[in-house]
Amino acid sequence: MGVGLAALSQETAPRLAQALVAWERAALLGPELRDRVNAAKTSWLVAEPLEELHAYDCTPVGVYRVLASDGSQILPDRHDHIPCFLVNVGLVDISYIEGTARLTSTPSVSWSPDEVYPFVGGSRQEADGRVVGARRFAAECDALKDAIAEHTVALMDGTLLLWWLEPEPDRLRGLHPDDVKTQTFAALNDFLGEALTVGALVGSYLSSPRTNDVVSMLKVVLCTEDPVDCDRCPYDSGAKAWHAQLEIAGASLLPVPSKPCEEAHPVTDASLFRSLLAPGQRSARFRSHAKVARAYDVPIDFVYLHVGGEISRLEFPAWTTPSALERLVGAVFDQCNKGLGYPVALAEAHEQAVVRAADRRSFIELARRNGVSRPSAKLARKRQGVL
Amino acid sequence: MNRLGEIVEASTTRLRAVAPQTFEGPAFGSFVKTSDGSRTTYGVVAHVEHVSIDPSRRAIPLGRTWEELRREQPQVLELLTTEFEACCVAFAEQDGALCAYLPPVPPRVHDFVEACTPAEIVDLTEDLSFIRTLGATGIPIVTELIAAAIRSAAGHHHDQRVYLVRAGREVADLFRQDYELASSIIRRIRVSDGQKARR
Repeated sequence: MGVGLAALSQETAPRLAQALVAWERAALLGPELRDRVNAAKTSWLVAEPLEELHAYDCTPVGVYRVLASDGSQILPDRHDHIPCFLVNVGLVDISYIEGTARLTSTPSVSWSPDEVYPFVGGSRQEADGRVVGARRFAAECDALKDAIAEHTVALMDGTLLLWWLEPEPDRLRGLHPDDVKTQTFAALNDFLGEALTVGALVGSYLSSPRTNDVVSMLKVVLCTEDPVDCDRCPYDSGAKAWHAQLEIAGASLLPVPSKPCEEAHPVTDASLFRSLLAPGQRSARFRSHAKVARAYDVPIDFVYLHVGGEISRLEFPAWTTPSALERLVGAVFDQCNKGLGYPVALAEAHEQAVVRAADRRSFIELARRNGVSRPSAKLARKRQGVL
Repeated sequence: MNRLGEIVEASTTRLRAVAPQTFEGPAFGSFVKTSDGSRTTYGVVAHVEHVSIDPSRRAIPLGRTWEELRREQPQVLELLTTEFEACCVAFAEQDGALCAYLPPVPPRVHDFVEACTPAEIVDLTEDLSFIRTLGATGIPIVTELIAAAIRSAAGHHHDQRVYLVRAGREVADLFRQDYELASSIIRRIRVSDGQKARR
């Protein structure tokens, strides 16, 4: 496996070099870049640059109050016949102003028919992993909404972009207010709205992101057409031919680029910014053009951070002002310094939320004692453990 | 009420409790009590430890003073806890009669542990039977535990020196088959020159 990974890494290196060349070209385009990106009709998600493309030095902020939430769950189990699920939300409130910390977790069990058989996208379905994930996300938003105050930094884990719940936001319009999707988007919008009202900063932190919106922006730069229109790609139609550049002779793991945009494939934003940022620096600010963000009251922006051990992505609402962004990023860098490379408040929120195997066993045992669990024959046989 | 902790594990011989404030546990060898409303169980603190609140997470060196930690990592204190164990040595039923032997049933989990009052300590230790009970616990540090309990009790008796001499004789008598054990306890309860001078 090691040999295979080394070979892939060797083959990706020229692609990264092409992406870096495109980055230089993009930086020189200035405001023209934004116009080119906004005019492009692409089949991939393209980030819109909001600042000049260079690395920005950041100063860690040491005196602030941070709130972080994270969730965990016990899913309904087919073999245990448990017709309920549990969401546990960990909330951490650390004040470096007063030197205090409050670590709490709030479990909630959902068991009513409307909860375990809810409306999802207009029709009733059994609560599965996606439904419980949505309930958990909404509970994380609610926990932060109730706790934030002026000047606090509110952190969430993962992306603010709920593409996994509904990639087509137009479909949300006709849904019932009680629909899981409607309620989840409403919870996020309410939380962001409250944060704006009270003057709190909001950031959602992605460790080891696999996103590539910025590399997709570079693909727009690499494209020879103007304006870029993937539906009318001359290389796909055969009107033009592309001769791959910087390819390694005999390379076989990656397909040879047949059009200019493929020159930067499969470089990720994280690998790109590992070459562009030094520890303690952030990228330029970008705006996500993810379709799902249309369902939000506010667009979602993001930056990449070099936190020392890795490149991470920080998403935040577009109403975050430049000075607020500096405070937010400064706090996140400080959190990573204190948390050995990962925001300490998020790590502790996770620890508060996590449902361990013993907790899961206790939950199932309680459900069994109360007569709501009846193991399937397969599971009962497994548990007997007899010869 | 001087609440020292809340019981999280209990048996007829021992109880384990969590202190309400980290780093503020009772002293090793001190006398504690817990009541379930009808029976009061008395014990001697046999072990005190500061541990991670989560058994799956260990504390690691952070290279900071406590002042720096409170300022920069205030959550650390929230993730540590102080726990202690006490060996049961006596109990009293609701009528108040003290029984200097193990209780018939364990104290309840979640009952609170308090420090014994000086009067209770005198009542509890006057007849010295707690030394035999502690000696039968079989814990590895029984020498230290018995000596610490005797020192803790002696301070509450009217004539500390007389009490220590009585306790020493009791130890010599109880452990006459084990000279090393008896002498090591007696060495640990010997009245120092400073204590003699103060008397």
